[in-house]
Amino acid sequence: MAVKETHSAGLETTYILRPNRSLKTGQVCLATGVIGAALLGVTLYFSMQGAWMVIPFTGLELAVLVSALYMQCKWSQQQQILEIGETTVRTSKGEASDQGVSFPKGWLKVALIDAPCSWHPKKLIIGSHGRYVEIGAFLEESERERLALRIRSALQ
Amino acid sequence: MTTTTMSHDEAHHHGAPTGWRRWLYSTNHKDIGTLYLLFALTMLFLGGASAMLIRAELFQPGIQLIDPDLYNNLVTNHALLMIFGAVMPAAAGLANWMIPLMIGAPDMALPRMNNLSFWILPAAATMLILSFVVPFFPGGGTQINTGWTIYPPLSVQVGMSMDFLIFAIHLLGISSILASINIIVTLLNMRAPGMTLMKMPMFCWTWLVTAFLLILVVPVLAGGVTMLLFDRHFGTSFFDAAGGGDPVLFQHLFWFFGHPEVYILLLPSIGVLSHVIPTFARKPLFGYRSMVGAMLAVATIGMVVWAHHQYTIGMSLGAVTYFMVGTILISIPVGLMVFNFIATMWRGAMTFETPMLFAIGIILMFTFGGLSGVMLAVVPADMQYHDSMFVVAHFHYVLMPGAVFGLFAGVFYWLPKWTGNMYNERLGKIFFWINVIGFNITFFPQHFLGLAGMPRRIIDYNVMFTEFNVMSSIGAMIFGLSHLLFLYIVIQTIRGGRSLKKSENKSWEGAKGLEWEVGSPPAFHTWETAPQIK
Repeated sequence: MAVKETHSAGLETTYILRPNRSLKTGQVCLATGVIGAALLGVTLYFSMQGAWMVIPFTGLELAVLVSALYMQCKWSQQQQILEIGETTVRTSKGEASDQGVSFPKGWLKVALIDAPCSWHPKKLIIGSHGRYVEIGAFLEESERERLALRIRSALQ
Repeated sequence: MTTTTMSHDEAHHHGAPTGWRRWLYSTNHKDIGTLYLLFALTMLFLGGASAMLIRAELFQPGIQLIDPDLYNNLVTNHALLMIFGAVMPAAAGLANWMIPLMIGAPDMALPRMNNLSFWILPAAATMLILSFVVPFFPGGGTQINTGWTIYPPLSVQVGMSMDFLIFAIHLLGISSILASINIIVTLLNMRAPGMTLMKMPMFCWTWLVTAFLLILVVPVLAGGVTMLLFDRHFGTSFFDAAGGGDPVLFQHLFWFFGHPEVYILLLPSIGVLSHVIPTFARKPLFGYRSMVGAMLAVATIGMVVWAHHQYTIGMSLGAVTYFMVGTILISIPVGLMVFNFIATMWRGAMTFETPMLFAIGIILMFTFGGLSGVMLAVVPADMQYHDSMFVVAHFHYVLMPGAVFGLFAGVFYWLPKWTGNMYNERLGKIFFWINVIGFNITFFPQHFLGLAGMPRRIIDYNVMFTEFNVMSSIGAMIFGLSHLLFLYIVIQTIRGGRSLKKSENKSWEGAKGLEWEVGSPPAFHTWETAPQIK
């Protein structure tokens, strides 16, 4: 996980939240390509020997592998931006299509709540007037707790 | 961005779930690792019981205890239970427990898939055991008499138990593939900040390579057994010469999986040794980069030399020469690994706790198995040794020390971390000595039996082979029963008690790595904040 905290004029504090990841997208593509090429070689060789029934199994396996890597990459590429301004607090995904949600700073409530199932981690939510947004869903438990403390202190 | 209504704002800490749901629905890597290890231990005893029955029958020439069909059935099931039921799940158990702890990840990348990959195993084991017992029921057909290689045309003629076996292999393959994909994704994308691939612990490297190997070879086996299923029930002739098929094609498909499978079983144990030896020699691993390189070389060459199991099928001279040279070439990177282990121990402040005893035993006995492997790699010599007890002795010297002793070393090394209790060192050492002596009494004489001409997979033998078979059977009983002591040590360590010392976070003085930074036993959730690696 990475929590990047910046301070600038006008915007008091900005938090950029991202999950931890150890490979860049290009490297993941490279790894997938290497595995895919090796699997393709094996499949072609045995298909040419008459064992074409290998094809559906290698295909299925490659599909699961690519799906797993894609899901993991997509998960690890998500981000959430929390901007604490002079009068408002705004949270967004940092994408052009996402307008984000703003709350009045003075009324903002920050809370860690239990998930409906006790096995699941707690949720960090912010909001006011009955509207709440979960932030840092991809963070770990202790990271969420520390982030909650940092937001509370930034609000004061 | 979606908004929600807050239900309650009181924060409560939650601990580990309890009851059967904890295990059935678990997505926690430690719990799933424990499940894998317990499953493997159960299969070890089932596979061991079948081996002891085989050796009891071979104690004397003649047919004493079991009939030939049951003997062949036992031989088949022993291999499958040990390879797919015991060793692979045990290695997966170590991987599940240790990989997230070692790389500073909170869990495996795909925890639900992790749960699925384990829970497929009991279903597969049930199918496997059914393949053994179905012939004893009315209408159950003939017993499986093919051995684990299930070569056609024999496997096409066997009764319905072969169908159970084929489906068991499919399920085991699915489980292995899902576990491998999970491990690859975890190791590639969930390492702690700063932990580059070349800073990754050696155990993780060995599992990364193992997972790649599994991904490459399991679909070929799946294709092969599916073609076999089609030949049995749907009128195809993939492997039937009368219908234009080729039975040798199945051998190629099988051994394309079967030979890398040796390295799949072996490499995780090499990973364990790469931690055990530096810990008890109190020196860093000698030649980390060369170890990684050697491992990649073993995996690469190991993928393309499968037909050395089939020298006698009548390949062209060029083909057998290629497979012979390729096979002998593997001894170079394997020799480099052994050299690195010895160099790590050289002038180290060594102590000889149970994991280290196993490590040294592995180096000696695995090297011995490797040398008999070089003998078998040479085509003219293999023509003599093929299908003899020499081959049985060889692969047990490779797989028992190379894979199983490595797993024992790993269990003794990490048991204090898992349980929070130090195991009884005296009992551990007694287990090591009984186990190793029993192993050598069992399998060393089999070299001589093979060289003297005793074939493998036979229930009866010439009286001239009696003495060595008696020795081998006595050794097998000692070896088999010694595992009860292992079970006792494990249970005693799990239960703890005043007679056992509590383990510190760092169970061994010379141990290094992230896994020793967390508690012993580790909390239900670990590395909730990723550590920084410098």
